[in-house]
Amino acid sequence: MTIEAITPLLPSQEELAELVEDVWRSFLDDEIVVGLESPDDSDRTLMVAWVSITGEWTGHLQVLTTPAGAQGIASAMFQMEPAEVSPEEVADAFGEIANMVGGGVKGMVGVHTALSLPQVVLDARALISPEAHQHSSIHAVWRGEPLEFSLWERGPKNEKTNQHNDTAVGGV
Amino acid sequence: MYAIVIDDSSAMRMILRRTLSSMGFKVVDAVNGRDALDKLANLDYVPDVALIDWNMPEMDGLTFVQIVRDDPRYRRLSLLMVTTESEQSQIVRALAAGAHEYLIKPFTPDAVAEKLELLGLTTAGSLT
Amino acid sequence: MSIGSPEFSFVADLVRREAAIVLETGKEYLVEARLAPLARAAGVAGVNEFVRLVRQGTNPTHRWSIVEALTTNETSWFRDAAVFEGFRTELLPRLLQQRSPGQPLRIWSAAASTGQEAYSLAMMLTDELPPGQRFEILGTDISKEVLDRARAGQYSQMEMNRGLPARHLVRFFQRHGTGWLVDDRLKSHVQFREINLAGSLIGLPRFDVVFMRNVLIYFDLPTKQSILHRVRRLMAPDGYLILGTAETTRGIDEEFEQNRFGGLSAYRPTADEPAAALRRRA
Repeated sequence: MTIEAITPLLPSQEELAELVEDVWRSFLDDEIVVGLESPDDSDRTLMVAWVSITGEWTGHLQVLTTPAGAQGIASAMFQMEPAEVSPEEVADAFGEIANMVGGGVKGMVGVHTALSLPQVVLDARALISPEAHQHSSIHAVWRGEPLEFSLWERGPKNEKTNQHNDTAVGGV
Repeated sequence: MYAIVIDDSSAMRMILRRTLSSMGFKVVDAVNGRDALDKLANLDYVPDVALIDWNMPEMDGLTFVQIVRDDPRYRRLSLLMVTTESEQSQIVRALAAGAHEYLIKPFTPDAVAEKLELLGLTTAGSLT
Repeated sequence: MSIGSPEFSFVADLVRREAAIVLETGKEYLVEARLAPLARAAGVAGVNEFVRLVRQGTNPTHRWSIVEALTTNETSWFRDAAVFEGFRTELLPRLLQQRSPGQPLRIWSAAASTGQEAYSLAMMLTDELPPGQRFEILGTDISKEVLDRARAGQYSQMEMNRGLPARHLVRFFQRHGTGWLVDDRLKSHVQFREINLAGSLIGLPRFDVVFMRNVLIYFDLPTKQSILHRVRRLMAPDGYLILGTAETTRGIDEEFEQNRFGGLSAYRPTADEPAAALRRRA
């Protein structure tokens, strides 16, 4: 193996989708449909979970969904009725989703990085990530609820980052 | 058979508890390495297997493995890492620290069963 | 149309025994979905009827079709630990005693699918064989699609979780995209080729060990006999044939004798092949 400057290998949309589908198939169900965008995207309370990846590459993996979406995730993972899950359990389950998808990203980046513990915000109106740009994202629908998984990289858009898609990933 | 599940996520503890229970294990859980050491010290038996997350507050899984591996009380305790850490170098580190086996999240119940099989902990009778 | 509790229990016990698959309550929907096509093919009204029919019968093929239908697409590495253990501790030493290091050991993985069995054998032999002892593994299957995957040697993270000892994972694979890739060094011992077992087996070398696990069950009796007969001719006289743990050659072939090694049953070619073949033709 030659030692050379390694460029971080970030997942393509297909690979991001694979990471998400693996999590769903393992712990939720087969019903997630990736690539589908929920039509009504306006002015909605969002739940967001993310993990930071730091080290020789810096960025974060973020998951957005509705309260019903997050509640559904918790309900399925805890095998409890949606009404029975507490906010802590919702945050825990939703955070674990971000942890596993983010962990999958970290595992393929190929340079030394560390994964943060997941952070969850249960009630967000607007999200801004200053000093970071979106590298790729996928939309999905699960049990009627929208989900968005996005990978953000710190700094301005970096041409040197190895991308599987040669076409620029503009808004997805 | 007895298992201890060590993970800071209550959802993950629940999932592993369900899977292990369906395989006939009695399950104790802990929220991090420090909590696991305390729980182990207070049990009147040594579990057959510990399923250990890596990244946890207070004491991470790798440290727990290093401590337990050096403790003669826990010689019979099989150490199965269950973690998102999936780089080759991380797996090597865990094995070098004393982990016996390694499972990458996400995982299916079959995968857990097969890892337990590798550890000599057959669950549903011998595979035909 | 939904599966009843005793039928679900029967299926759950069956797949747990045969494939270490755990089906907890809540998975009834999965059983229904996967068995519905089998019920249709069998011409019965629904999954319940189908399961009852299978349960009453004694045909291992029907039971196996249920196991197959519920097996995920991820094949395990080192499937059936007792088989690999028996191969390692009993068969291998015996074979090596009779061979010189210059003679490569030849193994046939005759239902290779996506390659896990062939590569598992390659890992084991890399570990177990004395230095200088060469080995070659041929993996064959009827499907080009699965063999292309086997040749590529790329496996997903989910597939890598299935029965592969972690020490082998780090030693014989490298990270590749979201998954892992078999090392070139390991690949150098393994070849894959499209072969229909019921068809021509011309051009194949002599093998020391043949793994033909859980594939004979798909053939009718005359074809099974023909396959066993032709496979036998490709085997070294002191070689071994290994079938699926639920299978046997008893009743279908007199050309093999069963040897038991702990949890492993292996079949040796019997001495007088022509006589047995003549008797059968008479």
